[in-house]
Amino acid sequence: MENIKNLLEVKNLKKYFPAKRKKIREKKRYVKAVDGISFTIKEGETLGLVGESGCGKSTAGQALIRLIEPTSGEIIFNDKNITYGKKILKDLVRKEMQIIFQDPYSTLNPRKKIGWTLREPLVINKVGTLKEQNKKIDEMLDVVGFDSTYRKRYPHELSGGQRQRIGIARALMLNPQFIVADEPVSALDVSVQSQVLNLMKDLQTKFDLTYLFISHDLNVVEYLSDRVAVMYLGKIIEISDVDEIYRKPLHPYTQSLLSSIPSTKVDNEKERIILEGDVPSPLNPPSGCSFHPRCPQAMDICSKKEPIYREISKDHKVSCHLYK
Amino acid sequence: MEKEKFLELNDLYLEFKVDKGSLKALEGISFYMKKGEILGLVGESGCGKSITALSIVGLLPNTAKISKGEIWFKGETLQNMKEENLRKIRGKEISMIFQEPMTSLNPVLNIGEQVMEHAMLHLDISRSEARKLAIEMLKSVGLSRAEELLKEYPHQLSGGMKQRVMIALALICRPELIIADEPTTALDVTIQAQILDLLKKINKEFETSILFISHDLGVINELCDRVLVMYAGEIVESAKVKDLFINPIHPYTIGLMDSIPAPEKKGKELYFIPGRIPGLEERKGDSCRFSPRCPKAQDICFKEHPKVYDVTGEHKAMCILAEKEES
Repeated sequence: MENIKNLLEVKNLKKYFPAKRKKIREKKRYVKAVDGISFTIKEGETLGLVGESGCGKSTAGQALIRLIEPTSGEIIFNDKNITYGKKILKDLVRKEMQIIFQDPYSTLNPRKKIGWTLREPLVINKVGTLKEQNKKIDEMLDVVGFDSTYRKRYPHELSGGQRQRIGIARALMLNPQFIVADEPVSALDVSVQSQVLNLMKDLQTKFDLTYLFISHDLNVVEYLSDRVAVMYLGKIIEISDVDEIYRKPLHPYTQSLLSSIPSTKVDNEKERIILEGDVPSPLNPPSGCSFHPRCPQAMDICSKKEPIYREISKDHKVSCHLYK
Repeated sequence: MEKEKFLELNDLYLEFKVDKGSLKALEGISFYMKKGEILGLVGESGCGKSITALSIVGLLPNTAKISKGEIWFKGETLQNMKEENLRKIRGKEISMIFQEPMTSLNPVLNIGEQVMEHAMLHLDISRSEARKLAIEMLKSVGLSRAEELLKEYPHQLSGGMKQRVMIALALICRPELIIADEPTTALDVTIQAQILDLLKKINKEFETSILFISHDLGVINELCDRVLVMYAGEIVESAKVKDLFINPIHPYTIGLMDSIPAPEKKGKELYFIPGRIPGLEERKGDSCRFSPRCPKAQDICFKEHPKVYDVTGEHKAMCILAEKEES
């Protein structure tokens, strides 16, 4: 893995949303949805991004491919800085970076046939003649397991799993290198979910895809990812190899997150760390380490000083005062 | 009153009226619940889990009708009971927790009004007593700021807190049965763990029976004593949780378990059940409902509807394969 180059490098990416002022002349406040995250993704790798709802994982994914414009920071894709500029967005980002959304029921236009939906990216980017486009559409349908008659179908004729496969086909129409999969299987039943996961895995080898796989389902993330990043309140608090992080989680938040996975093993005598309280509001994050009010191992320093995000062992970074 | 089976559904059929006649959503649902038991009901979307729950409390939509079968609760039948009598049972002796805590609370009433209204209606107590009870209840579900919370509105609470309020609401009359319809599905894992823990505690402390509906086998395994597996409007397998996980018989149950991505399956192709759950209008004829998707289907499966076989004691399966296992 050493010699494989970084496809994507994210440096201190931030996305702040202005919050509504409650009083006139109140100081402007921001929701720090993504508050300075840095990571790299190697070519052909799957990085899993986990965290509870509201932790900023979807915002991070969307800011990464500039579906929303980042507030500050740098995104380096294939050695090019793609963070700013309209031209690079049109020429590079929209072609090479794509997204698969969570809800297959609302991401397909109900009034357009599948063929139209799949053709749209080609039309917008002026790729090929009508004939070539048709060929490409049939090819893609075949890749995700449909025959060409599905071109004439409407989304309502398809089941959730089938729609999600169309969503995947649409993301692949322009042969992108990088795909953000934002909870792609969360809306699906288990029996269908595994089919979509298998497909994503096959496509990765077939088309040399690199994934950022966003999910709150830790079983799915473990199955699919090579490395895993854990987010809490807009920050990455731990990142490591999937095996390492699942076997030896360092951050108390990661530990409790992993211990909360419901297990299907009989006689499971797993020690469960149950966290108290809820995720604090990102509008008003706690001082110091933002996890300290819920942390079972919190110390005095945790409420005063923000821990430094540092490498503890090879490729294992964590941001916690417990590790020096 | 029979203590052993305090809720029993007996060969229940439920139909939806449509333009051209009717469609069967439930076909021959039979199960029982013992007092103090946590019973799981698992299946994919569209298999009839929620409608089973709603038929118990008589909250069916107007187009649905119970065409056959009985629902027994503490020696009374519920399915033909008058609405006003049913209303006394619903909320007091049987209460429900729904999937979406976001939509099941009234957004324009504060938490106090909603919890107290419930208590005053069923327990016939004064406002101040109801207030006291509400505070006590909210505290017992782990909401420490109960007094302030009474004055707050649902939008001020997080999802997990709303679900706790719903549980407090469901518990305030000390019901004997709680029907929880996917109560943790909309919540994060850490909050889910809190809620499951709370339900376990309630079950132990008050001996409340819980009918827990979920699509997540992991959650069922953590919480329940016994489990029913539903497919296309039928119960295809029922067993003690342990027996089901050690020795699943019905190919659908096995398929469900195999499709869960588990650590040991990493790098391997995941199993999936081909096809999809048949729609209501497709459920015709005498074949086994699962046969078109079943990897072990034999000729007979397409011709004859399988009967329910006893495997051991409480382990039952509706599949021809269970014939060999029958004791």
